[in-house]
Amino acid sequence: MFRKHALIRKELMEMVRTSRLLIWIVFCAFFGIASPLTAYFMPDILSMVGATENIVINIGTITYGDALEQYTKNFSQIGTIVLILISMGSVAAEKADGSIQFLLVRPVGHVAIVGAKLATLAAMLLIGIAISAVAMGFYTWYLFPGFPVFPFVVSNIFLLLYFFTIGSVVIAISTMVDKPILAGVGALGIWLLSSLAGMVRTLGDFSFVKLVDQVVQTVEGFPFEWEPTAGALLLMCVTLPLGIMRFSRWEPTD
Amino acid sequence: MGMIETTDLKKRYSSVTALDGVTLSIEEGTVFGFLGPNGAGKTTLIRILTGMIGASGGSYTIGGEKGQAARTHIGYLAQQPTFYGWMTGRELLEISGSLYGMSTSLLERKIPEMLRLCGVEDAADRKIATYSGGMRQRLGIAQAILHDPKVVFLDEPVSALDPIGRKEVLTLIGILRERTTIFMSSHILDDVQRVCDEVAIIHKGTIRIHEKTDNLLRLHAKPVVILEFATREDVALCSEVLQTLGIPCGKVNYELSIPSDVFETKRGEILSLIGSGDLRLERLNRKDATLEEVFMHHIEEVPHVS
Repeated sequence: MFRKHALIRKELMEMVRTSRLLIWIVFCAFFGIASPLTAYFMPDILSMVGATENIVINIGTITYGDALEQYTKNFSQIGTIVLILISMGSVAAEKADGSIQFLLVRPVGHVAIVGAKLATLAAMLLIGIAISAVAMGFYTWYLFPGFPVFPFVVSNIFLLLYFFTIGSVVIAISTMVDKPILAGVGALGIWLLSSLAGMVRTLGDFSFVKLVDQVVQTVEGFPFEWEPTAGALLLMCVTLPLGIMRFSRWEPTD
Repeated sequence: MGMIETTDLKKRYSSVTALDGVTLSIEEGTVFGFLGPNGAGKTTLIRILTGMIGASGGSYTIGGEKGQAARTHIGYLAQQPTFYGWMTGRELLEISGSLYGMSTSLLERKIPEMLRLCGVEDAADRKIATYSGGMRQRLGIAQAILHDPKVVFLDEPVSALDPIGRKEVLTLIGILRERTTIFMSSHILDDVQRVCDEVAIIHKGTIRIHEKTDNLLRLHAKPVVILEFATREDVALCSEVLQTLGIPCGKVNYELSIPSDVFETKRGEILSLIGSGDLRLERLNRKDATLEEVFMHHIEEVPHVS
């Protein structure tokens, strides 16, 4: 019990001291606030731009759907990059500088080490997405009457699962390689491939990137589609054991 | 059964054999010095015994236990310890103790004691990134002994330190000998001779010799008499004549070394030879037996005086 707590405590301390948590929270808060505001003021912004160029830009009525679309698309895309950047060194950097040896000679297994990293990743994502969901929910409800706040808050579970899948893949690759940059490039590659696979009929339904679409579908009242969730779980079930297996055979090179 | 037992341990990396059947038995309470040149297999053996890497063959026990269970009995200090720079020294000890299952109340009692013992009390609440090499090494020893392990593995504990840091760490090792079994690798022979009860020499992955330090010096190293001449030519000439007379000697630069017992029995003969040959003898010294002589002999890098 002490051992698991110690591992999680170490990871939480690291997350706070290296500012990873702060970066993620600020990023989430920014998108939570900026998405509804940008959508609301978009006609004014475009008309100002049109006025300076002597052209008239007509756009339709802005609804909460526009705010939601900005939130899901921008947040998920830029958030993926940010998450990869802040997580890619989670194991690889410790291997590169040798600090992982501190854990490896203690009576804790490789699974526990990776498990603690996943648990703190989940905590970090949960805090950030909770903040973004509250900010987005409040501003959208305030600016766009009729916005279904409760379904929106619930729908963020899909965003959480999406980011957790990305984070897990980054950690899994980070356990396999010795340089953080390789973990970042590998995770980016899997994300791009999954995005491309999402365009393929039938098979694409299982791409985890489609979890982002589930946010909009849940708010709009469409039924739950299980395929992206299954795809996300399958991806984690493949990459994490592979990563742990490779990690357990890792040897310092110095 | 010894505190550390290894049987035919092997480690191979594709075509390279890092360890080739290492069998050792080290008794409880021993300060064991593990000697060898760079690349001999010292760090590889320590990494296997600490559970950091797997062996390609053979087996080992620490305190009678194998695998992960054995890890609860060990403390480890790496050659160049890298700890989390964002942690403070005290936090590192807290995390380390908790990972060995120590309770909070026990940690509250033990951590100040260890910080005091290892001389890092004043820096305990500073970030490790700000520590000097010597402080980091002493903190490393503190984290290695905090949980009262049965065995402490120290991988080249003083090789990266300045003379002051080296002296501090060796003093600390001297204090530790009363608490635990110490397995210390090094290539600094003076340090090993000073602190270790038992020594093994490893070369090219095999144990060349394993003895009590006293026995090793008594049985395998002999005191020598050093004759220092004015010129190299005198050294060469004297060496040549002595060898024709069947007197063993070794020459290095301006010096000729003769085993002390041989010199005593043939003292008159040797000195008259020097006098009659008009050789310019500058100095005559007696040198005690050292581990260096044994070490050099067993790794076959320079000829042994015999």
